[in-house]
Amino acid sequence: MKSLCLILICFVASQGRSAGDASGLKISAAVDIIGSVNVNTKDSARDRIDVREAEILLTGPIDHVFDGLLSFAAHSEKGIARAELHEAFIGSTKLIPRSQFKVGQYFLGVGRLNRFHRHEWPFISAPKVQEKFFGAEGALDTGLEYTVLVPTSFFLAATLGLSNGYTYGHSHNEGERPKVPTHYGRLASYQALPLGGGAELGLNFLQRTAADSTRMTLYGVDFAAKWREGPALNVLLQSELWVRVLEPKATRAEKALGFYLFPQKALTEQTYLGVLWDYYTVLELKDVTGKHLQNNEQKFLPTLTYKASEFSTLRLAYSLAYLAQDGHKTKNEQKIEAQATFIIGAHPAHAF
Amino acid sequence: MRSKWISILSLFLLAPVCWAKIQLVSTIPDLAWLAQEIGGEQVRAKALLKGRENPHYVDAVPDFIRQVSDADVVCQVGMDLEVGYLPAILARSGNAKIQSGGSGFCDVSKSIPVLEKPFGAIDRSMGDVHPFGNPHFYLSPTAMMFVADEIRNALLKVKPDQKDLFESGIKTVKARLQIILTANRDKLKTFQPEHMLVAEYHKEFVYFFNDYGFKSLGSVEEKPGVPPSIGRLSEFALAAKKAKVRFILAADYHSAKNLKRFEELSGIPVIQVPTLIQGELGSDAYASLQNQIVDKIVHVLTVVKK
Amino acid sequence: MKNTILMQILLGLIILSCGKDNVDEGSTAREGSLRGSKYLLVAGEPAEKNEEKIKGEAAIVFKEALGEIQSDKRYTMVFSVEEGGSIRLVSHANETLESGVELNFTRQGAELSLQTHVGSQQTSAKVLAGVSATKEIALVVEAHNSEDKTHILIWRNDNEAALDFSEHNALFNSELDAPSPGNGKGKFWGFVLKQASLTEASSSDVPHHHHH
Repeated sequence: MKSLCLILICFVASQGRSAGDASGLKISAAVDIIGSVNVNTKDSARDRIDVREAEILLTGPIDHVFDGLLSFAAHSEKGIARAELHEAFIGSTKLIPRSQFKVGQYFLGVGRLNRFHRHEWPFISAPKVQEKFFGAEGALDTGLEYTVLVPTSFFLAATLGLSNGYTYGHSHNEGERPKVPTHYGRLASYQALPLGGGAELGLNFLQRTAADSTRMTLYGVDFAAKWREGPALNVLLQSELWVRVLEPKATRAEKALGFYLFPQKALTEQTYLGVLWDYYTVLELKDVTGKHLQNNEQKFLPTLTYKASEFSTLRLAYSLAYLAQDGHKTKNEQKIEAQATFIIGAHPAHAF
Repeated sequence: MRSKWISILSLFLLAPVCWAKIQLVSTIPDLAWLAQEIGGEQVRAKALLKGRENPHYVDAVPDFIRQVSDADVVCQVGMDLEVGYLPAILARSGNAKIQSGGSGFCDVSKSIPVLEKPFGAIDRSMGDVHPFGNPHFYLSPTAMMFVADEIRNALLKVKPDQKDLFESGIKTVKARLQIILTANRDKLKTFQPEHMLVAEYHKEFVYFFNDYGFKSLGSVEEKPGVPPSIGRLSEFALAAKKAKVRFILAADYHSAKNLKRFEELSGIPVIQVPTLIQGELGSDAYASLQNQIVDKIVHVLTVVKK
Repeated sequence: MKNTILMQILLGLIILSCGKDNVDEGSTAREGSLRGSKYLLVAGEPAEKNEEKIKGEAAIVFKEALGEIQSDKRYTMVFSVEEGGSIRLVSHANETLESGVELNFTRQGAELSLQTHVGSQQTSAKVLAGVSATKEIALVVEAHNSEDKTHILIWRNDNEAALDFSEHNALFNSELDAPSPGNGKGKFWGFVLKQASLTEASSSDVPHHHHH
């Protein structure tokens, strides 16, 4: 599979070059390298540098109506490189007024982090809520997604999607036909802020009933506010809050809540300092006798970022992670994390 | 009788279409100003940017998507100046006619005489190079006359029946651009710009310098879009001083810290100016911008002369 | 009269205190602790039950919750099984050890075989190579219940073992050996012993060795 993907990528890339500008094909590659060192545990097996992801992205007009996107990614998973198809879809913004749609495989259009590729995130690793509810790199599925711009005097966009739902999150098998496929929606609004800033707020919903009748429902709010001054993102404030309700057949439902908050400030035109606060808890957790168990996992990651240009990023973070159960800390982990990402090829969009 | 009712009904239904203004959205305000001057009552022009932004680094803000979703025409500067945000905005707009290649898509750089088109192999190790040439032609009244033609052509595609109006508009605005050029050249005449060496912080004044006869030593930035190092600041300050550069022109969105440092090192005055129309898009908006830049230059040259 | 009333009160107190003792004894009998991990006896009556061992026929569920249903857990277990007996590790089940993923270790002669059950679905039995069922067995078991179909991994955890808990070194990997029939739907874990004894059992989170 790996060599087949690589051959396919090289072939497509060469075709793109020979076709020149006439086809409109844009090719770019992104690489995400991370490393970590444990500070206060003896588990040195995790002290390593990895190419977490190498992605090739091809986009372009298919014809006068449709556009296409294809992306492959190679991951280092448990020390083994795996190549896989990430996104492959056909879409259009020209067929239905004020609307766009896509059909194929893609990252589901909910939340904030889930709608961006991991190497574009403003911090190194997925917050707990993202990892638990969507998988470390995001929820990917095959289906149809439709977005309409509501005709209002302010930005209001509604997204609806329906995807197979055979699998959800991290899976190494092809899954099973669900009782109810994955269906989701997002309502997003934007507001300009004083001093040249702007903020987007999204309300999210996602649900799926697996083959074993376990119903999963996600409710979430995502928020991003930015103040930009030239190349420097002066201030960024990003947050998501999610609640998941898991209703397995014949057992009690489980509710979990997670959120992250990431404020970041530019120190200079190229360096930034942010702090990620990551919080996760299982609501109403009880022991077998019914005694309520307080529990939460928290992480604080002060993160320093250096961006020589919009095409490269270097990051250093110090992670302080706590797991608290019943009022006492059961886990206290500290580590240093580092990241280097770069993009080569076509100019990426400055997504908000 | 029946045909009479059909005619009345058609008139009723089509009337809003006939009387509707062309909704034109441009990236920079200067293009919106030009479109409004050409189109008059037939056009409602507005810009995505407010004029205070660095046009190289703009996010594809959701509100831009809303603004272009209803547009009849979208005008861009082109030459990859908007490559970071406009394609992403158009792709989410759900508006077929303003997509690249569509009837309502207008790239105003198509017919301007391009300056500083790079030759040979170029890549990102050279900085943020504009591969199709320098896109900052909107600072030149001469170049804006070519831009006016492109905008007129775009308006005609939407309302071909308004040809006379648009022709009259373009004639008036070109005349006004010529007046701006002549008046400002007159202001600068006593300083003999053709015998003067100047410089710029980022390579965005080449068309402006060309219009007013200035000769440029180059840019403080060694590589476009890359903030100059202390070494570069010192090196260029020395070279500029040696060459007797009279002033450095910089956009108002550049780092004041670097500019102040350069001024201290070289002793050469740095003039920070707006490079885009800011505020209301009144008839005099472009003239105000040009006058403001030239007046600041005149003031500095006058002070230095004394 | 006074004496009669006093006698009745005294008798009542005696009966009550006896009853209370019985209740206490019943509660104590249902609870237990194995090397500090508290559990409840769900079914059966073990022949031996103390801090170092639980032996015989019993079903126990550990008091502390695993955290959440879609969690990845690592268990260490030290046990021995008599001929024809079995020990079943139940992961991600409810309070009465139902609706979980069940790993049933059965002894036949010197061989220990494993069968995985989820509800009415089960895998075929697989003999765990290199494990002698005639002596005490130490295993590390991981149940990745966050994955689609619980991913089960098992390693030996005795002195002879390499103590390298990576997938390629696993004694059993459900992805390769016998696909798990489903997922557990609960937050508790425990054991069902049948002619077996358990001397050590603990749970912890799976350390993630890969940046995924």
